[in-house]
Amino acid sequence: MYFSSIFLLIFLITFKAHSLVIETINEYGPKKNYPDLNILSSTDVDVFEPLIKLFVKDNKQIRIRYVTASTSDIYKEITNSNKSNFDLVISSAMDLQMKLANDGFALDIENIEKSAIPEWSMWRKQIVGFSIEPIVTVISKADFNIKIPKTRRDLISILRNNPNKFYKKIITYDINKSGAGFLFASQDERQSESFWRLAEVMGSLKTKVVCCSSKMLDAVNSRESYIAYNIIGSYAEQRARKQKNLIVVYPYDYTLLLLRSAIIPKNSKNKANANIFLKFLLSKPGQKILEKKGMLSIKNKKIFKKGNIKLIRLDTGLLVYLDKLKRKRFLSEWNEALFQ
Amino acid sequence: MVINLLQKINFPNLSIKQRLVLQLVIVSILIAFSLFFLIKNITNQVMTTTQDRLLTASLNSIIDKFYTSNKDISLDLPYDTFSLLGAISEDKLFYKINYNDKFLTGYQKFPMVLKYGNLRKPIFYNLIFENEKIRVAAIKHSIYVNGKKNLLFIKIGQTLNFQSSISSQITNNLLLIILIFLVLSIILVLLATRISLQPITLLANDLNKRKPNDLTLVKNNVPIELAPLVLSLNSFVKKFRGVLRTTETFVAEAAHHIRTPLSIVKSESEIAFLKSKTKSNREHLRNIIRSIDETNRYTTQLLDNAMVLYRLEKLEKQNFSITKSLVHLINVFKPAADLKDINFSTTFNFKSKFIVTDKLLFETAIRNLIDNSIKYAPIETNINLDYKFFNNVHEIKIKNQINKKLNTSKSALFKRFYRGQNSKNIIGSGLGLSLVNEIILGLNGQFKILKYKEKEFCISVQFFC
Repeated sequence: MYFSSIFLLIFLITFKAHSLVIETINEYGPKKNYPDLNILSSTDVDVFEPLIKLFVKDNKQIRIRYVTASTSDIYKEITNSNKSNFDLVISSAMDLQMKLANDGFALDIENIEKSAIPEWSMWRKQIVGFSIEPIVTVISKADFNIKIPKTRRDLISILRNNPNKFYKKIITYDINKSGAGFLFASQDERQSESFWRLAEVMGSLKTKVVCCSSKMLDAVNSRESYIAYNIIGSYAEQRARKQKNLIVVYPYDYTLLLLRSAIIPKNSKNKANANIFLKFLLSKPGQKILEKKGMLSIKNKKIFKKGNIKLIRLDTGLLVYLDKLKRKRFLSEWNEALFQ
Repeated sequence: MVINLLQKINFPNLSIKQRLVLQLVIVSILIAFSLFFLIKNITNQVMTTTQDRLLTASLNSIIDKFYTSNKDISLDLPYDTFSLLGAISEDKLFYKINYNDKFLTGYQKFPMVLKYGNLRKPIFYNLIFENEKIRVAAIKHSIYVNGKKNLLFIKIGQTLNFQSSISSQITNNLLLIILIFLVLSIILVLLATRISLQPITLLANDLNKRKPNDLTLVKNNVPIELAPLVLSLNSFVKKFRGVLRTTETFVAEAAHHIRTPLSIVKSESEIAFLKSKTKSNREHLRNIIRSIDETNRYTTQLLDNAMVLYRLEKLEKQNFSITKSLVHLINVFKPAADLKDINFSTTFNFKSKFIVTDKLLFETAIRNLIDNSIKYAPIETNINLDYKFFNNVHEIKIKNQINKKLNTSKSALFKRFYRGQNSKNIIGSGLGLSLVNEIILGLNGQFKILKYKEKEFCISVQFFC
């Protein structure tokens, strides 16, 4: 199997230089001038690689290009560029995926109703969730000789009681830049009355904000930070298996459950291949590989026994926090709380 | 309109039942289709009203989430309202909010509307946006900022998935109901038609079953619509019966009146024959006597015929032994058979078998048949009488030899006054077989000539119990 990995610089030449900041780009399958399936994704390549390899093994004629970028950039690429040549968009930002579908940027997925997936993981045959992700808190084992916080209220109380210990030792998403981080924070606001208190406390302790889960995990593992708040569960679990300093906490008060979803953008030139890939992604072998890489299959039922799991519903409510005024108000309050 | 249409449709060659069924089925189909479109229309109206109310409620909750500061205005768009609007049937949502003349938030390219309602009575539109048909509610709402009146123009639009999915669900159920209704109504139409036409069917069946000489009155209970027809039919039958009876009486009286002078002429001729001395006179008188005999036979047959027709109208049924009756008739004809050295043989069990019918007519028919057999059988031959009872049928067979093959068709033999080629030297009127045929039909029987082409003649008479 032919497999190549090309670096960012080449892509800035290949792609239009409007805004898409590509993190990685990889190609799989037979060598061709142009790929038969161009995937734009926010999921790390090492999670998807085994799945793509198995796919190209069964579909020898298809060459896949797998491009990763942040969820916000993905959204901008699909909405701003009329010449966008991506055939499949994978993102953990459910709200942005919903916005794309609501605004007519998504095509119907063929025969999606025949896939044995839960009804709540689909919207209008245009968005399909293929994996679920609990949003967890990760703490540094070495630095937690005190009781591990099980709820947000516990966390607030520990932070308030130990301000010196946790000063500059908390890390979370920069929701100004990360679409996924913004989604988690907005859903927190909906779910919990203590969210703004927590934000205030985190702000008073000079919480660090970063772009992505991996950086948060690195920081906790290196004990640079003691607590990483709102982090994607699969990444955390995967790392925690290797890095014993990481403890993954599923908050008891509620644990948000995110859908990692896919859409076929309306400019797709290889709709048929995108449909074939999605069919494989939702099939038993596809889901099995995802689980092997630490992600949770869309059909996984065990996760619902882990506590008070709150599934973020795939519906038009998700559009609300993307409203200009609402977003502005939310970001301004969050920034005020975090950066005092 | 429907009646006019039905009247215009011409149904050539269709029975009343078929016409009625066809018309009622057409009416049922029209009613079913009208019902379908009526209910579908009402459903669509209900769906639209429901969607309008949802949109109005969402406008209310959006208005509730506007906040004003000293100079500015902010909106905390309600999550649950949006979630609810889209959750029912995965409908897309679009909105646009203008503050005075300035775009505040939402979809900037949202289509223009001419008029805005208020919170209590929004104005609704069906528009197309982003290639989707949407239902839009538009309101204008006053808001005071820093003591100054400002206007909010809010438009919220929802795709029609909610309507179309419920409508298609209802349509599917409705189609099933309409189909069941149609099948049931067709069954009911068939049943109702059958019941309605029953008096006509019964009348038709009764008239069909009638024998050609049955001139009894029609006594069926018929609906008032048919009463004039039955009345006319009965008065026609009465008139016809009267005419027939007059004719029969006339024929019978004429025959009777002829017979008396004939017998006088015959006896006078016989006396004259005895007294006559010349050969030529004798020959003349012999011819006269023969002619008188033939005439006498004709008049007897005519009397018989009149009696039979009269009797057939008023059958006097009785229970009698058919075998005894046959034996009696053989005994009556034995002297006549002996004159031609004809022997009678019987091949039936003499044990009494009873039949309920008019004995006089029965015996007249059999007598005629035996008489015919004796007349046409060559001398020194045998006449065989057979009787069987099987499957509730009495069958009598009379078999005799004939001199020559008959070259006449079966049907011709039953014609009145028709005589076959081999009857030239035999006295007869040609009324016998036709009379027998009428009697047997009148007694609900069947008369068949089984063999007649060979030198054997066999007649079968069947009476049904």
